[in-house]
Amino acid sequence: MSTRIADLIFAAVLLVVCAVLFLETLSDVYQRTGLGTAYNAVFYPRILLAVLALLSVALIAKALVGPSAALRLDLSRYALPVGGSLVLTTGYALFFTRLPFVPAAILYSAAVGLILGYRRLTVLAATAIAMPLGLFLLFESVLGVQLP
Amino acid sequence: MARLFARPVMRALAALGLAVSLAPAAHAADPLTLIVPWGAGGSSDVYARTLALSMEKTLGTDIVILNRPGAAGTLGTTEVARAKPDGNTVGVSALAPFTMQPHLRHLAYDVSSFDYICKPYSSPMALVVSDDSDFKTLDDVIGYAKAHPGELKYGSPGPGSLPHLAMVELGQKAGVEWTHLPTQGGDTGNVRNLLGHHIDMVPIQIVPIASNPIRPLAVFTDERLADLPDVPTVKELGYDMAHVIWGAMFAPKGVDPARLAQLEDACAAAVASDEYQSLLETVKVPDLYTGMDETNSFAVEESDKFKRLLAAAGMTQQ
Amino acid sequence: MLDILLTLLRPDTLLAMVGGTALGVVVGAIPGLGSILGLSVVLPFTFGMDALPSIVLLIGVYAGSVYGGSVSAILINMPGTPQSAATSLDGYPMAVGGQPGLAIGWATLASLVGGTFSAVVLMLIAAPVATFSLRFGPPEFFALTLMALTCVVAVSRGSVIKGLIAAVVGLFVAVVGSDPMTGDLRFDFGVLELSGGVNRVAVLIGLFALSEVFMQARSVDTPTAVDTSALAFRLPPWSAVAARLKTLLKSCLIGTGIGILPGTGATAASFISYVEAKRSGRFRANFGKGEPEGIIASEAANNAVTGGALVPSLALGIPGDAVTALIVSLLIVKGVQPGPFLFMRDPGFIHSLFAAFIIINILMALIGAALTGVFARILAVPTAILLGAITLFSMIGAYSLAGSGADVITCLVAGVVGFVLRLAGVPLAALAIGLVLGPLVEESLRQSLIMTDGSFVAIFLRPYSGAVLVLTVALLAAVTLGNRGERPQRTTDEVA
Repeated sequence: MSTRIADLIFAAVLLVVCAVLFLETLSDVYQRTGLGTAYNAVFYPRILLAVLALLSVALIAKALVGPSAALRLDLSRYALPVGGSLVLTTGYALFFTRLPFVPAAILYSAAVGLILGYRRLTVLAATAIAMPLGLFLLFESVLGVQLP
Repeated sequence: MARLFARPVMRALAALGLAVSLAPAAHAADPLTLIVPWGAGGSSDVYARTLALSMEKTLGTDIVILNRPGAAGTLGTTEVARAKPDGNTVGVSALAPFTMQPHLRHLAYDVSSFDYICKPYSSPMALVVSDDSDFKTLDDVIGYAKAHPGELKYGSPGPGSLPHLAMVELGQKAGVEWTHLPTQGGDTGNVRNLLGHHIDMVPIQIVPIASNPIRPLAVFTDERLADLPDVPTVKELGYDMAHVIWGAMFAPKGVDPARLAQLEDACAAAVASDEYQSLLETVKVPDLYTGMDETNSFAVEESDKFKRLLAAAGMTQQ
Repeated sequence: MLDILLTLLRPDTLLAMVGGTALGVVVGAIPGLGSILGLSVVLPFTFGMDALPSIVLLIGVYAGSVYGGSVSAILINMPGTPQSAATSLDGYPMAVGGQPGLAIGWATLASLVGGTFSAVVLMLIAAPVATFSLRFGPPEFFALTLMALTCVVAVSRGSVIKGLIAAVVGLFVAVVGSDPMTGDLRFDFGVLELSGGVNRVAVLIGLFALSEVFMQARSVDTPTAVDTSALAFRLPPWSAVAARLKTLLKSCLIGTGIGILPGTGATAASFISYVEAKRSGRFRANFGKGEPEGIIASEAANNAVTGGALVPSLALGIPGDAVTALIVSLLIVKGVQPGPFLFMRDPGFIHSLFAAFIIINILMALIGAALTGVFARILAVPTAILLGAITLFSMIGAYSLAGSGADVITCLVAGVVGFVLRLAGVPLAALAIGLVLGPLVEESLRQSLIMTDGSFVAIFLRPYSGAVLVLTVALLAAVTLGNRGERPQRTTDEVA
């Protein structure tokens, strides 16, 4: 892949997002008052979307005309640590409020450490247990913030 | 590495041991949770925390205050609506989330989803202009507005806020048109715009009046205020309307009546406490406490009134 | 003078100053906590306190947290508070380059100077300046936001187009939720949590902190060598400071000036100051590679905002941002009514406050110096463990904003999007600027249009808005010319 292709993909995705959001501004909910004036709810968002679309077109033009370079994407090396931490973190975030904080956080930190290739198990276990506990105490008792 | 973490680990374990050994004592009675659907330090929060000081003593339980801000107070209020009706979770908030917002957006609750235990505060509003304004009376303002439709600009803390709706109603009753310029940042942002002559007038609460070069023309309360004895009410000037920024303590429907009565008594005692009375004095809010029955029917009246006014302002969604 | 000192030396006031400042530094250094959370934590303590100690406590937390944010910005490239985002641009490279202790030393020095400078300004010109700032209405604020947005061009190394794209995306994220002019819900797609808007702090945490985790996951197996001798707090030598004195003073002025104007805040101030230094600084060629001048520009400006922001708060009772709004509301509860009359009726209180503010800045530097060793050890923690910790901090930080799971998910989405944008070479700092300025841009633009009956031109036909616009164009031209000197470079590891 080259930087040119990457930029083109990026700009195309932006254009699609602009189009979808613009369609949303046409929905009935926003059409009631002050169409086209400062009293209309989609007046300002549309200005932003127009600017964003223009910039995307400019990016496409620049990518086509400007210089390009090869992108090095060493997928085989990144796949496990990046993909693994993405999946783990997403899962944890989705269930953050429904899991009791301390055990979930202990499991999560231990799992992330392992996926990222850390192998000194005693240290990992000690920190994975100590950190969530410490955070829990800090927030619940010192800062007065309730954790799940 | 091990040495670096040894101490925190020991401390955390020691603290945990302490927490476990103390746990049974703390759970002697379930704590009462007060959900404030606004940020810490906001006015609802200050009232709630001051109420809690005294209610903790009266009820003999711990009180936990949870600030659940977001979505114009509807997030925290939804949380109260969805709470188990065991009388251990109640909300404290100014009126908008339960009397106005249900008309503005689709919510999991409406005004009838709650029992209103008490009305601990009612903050009056006055229509003010800057000291160097040519308008000396409300009649001056309305006379000018009649001659120049749409020219006068009034501020408010946001569309659908009580100051906005009060001006919509006043405009209707007086038969004039004026322009709305909402400003985030509450009364202070509006006073700023007033002093810089970016707006002509704004309904605000009473506290900033004494300390800024601004002049009150009329108050929106039923009767004149002790703090502003010379300022007429809108009503005595011939416009039959009244608005006040009131707040309630409210529980999800279904709580045992005996528990509600207990909470009502605790609320009444808290409002009568020295701390609360001195708070009211500093923020220049008269004590217009009402109990459960009166507050319940008042909430429904207000909700109906706002539905009408929001429709007049072109804002209702349903 | 003596009686002022005596009131400040009362044990409760002294304890409030030290405790507040120390707590502020710690909360500031922990990403996601920030000034407001710090203030909320101490708020209950003030209920039983007198007016002066309670206000001093809050100011201590405020000033301390703005400084504390720089610590994590420097050490782990994760601004503890948004106000310190610009600090990481040069602070982190300097720390990675082996001099974390010195980088914090620079930040501390700049914060001390910036904070003290603004305190002196506060003392001298509070009342007149506050009155002048009243003339700034919606059109002037719109012009100011345009000026702040020119920073985007300057922080966009490599591709200005991508920088602008990021800024507009940031502005758009701020649009979601309730319309400030009509109250209509926009782009909430029926989700209750979105109807109140996207939580901006949660987005910032995800954008900077969480995306850093994914970035670092790519290089986790490369061992990081940390020279522990450089961890200790070190003040820069005088000669090095003298060479950058001009930038230091200019940043103080920029910060104080922006602080006095409501609504713009420390985040914008630090970026504007950074950009100005990058344009005119003596060491501008080294910016982005660990140049102390960049740290100074950001830190002196954001700490100078704290004093500046207190000017309109005290002199008019009109707070410039959420933090000072909290302080003003507490003052009112304590029976101290801020406003022009405060200066006439209670000068003793005001003078004590000024003096306390200076003392707080000194305390802040001392506490920062003492804690640096502790903080800097973070760098010695193995990356694999540190990354897990950063995620936990980010999520708790997002959760503690309002106790809402939606904010945790917002933070996650922002983290993943931030990761993708970094890979695409989009400068995240530009997105952050758009996000932070967004509400003010929209509100001031639409208010202005109501005032001018829909004319865009008329917005700038007022003396001050016109002047600000001219200044903006000049700044833009200067920055564009300055950028041309640099070779455009493409780095996938774009720091911000």
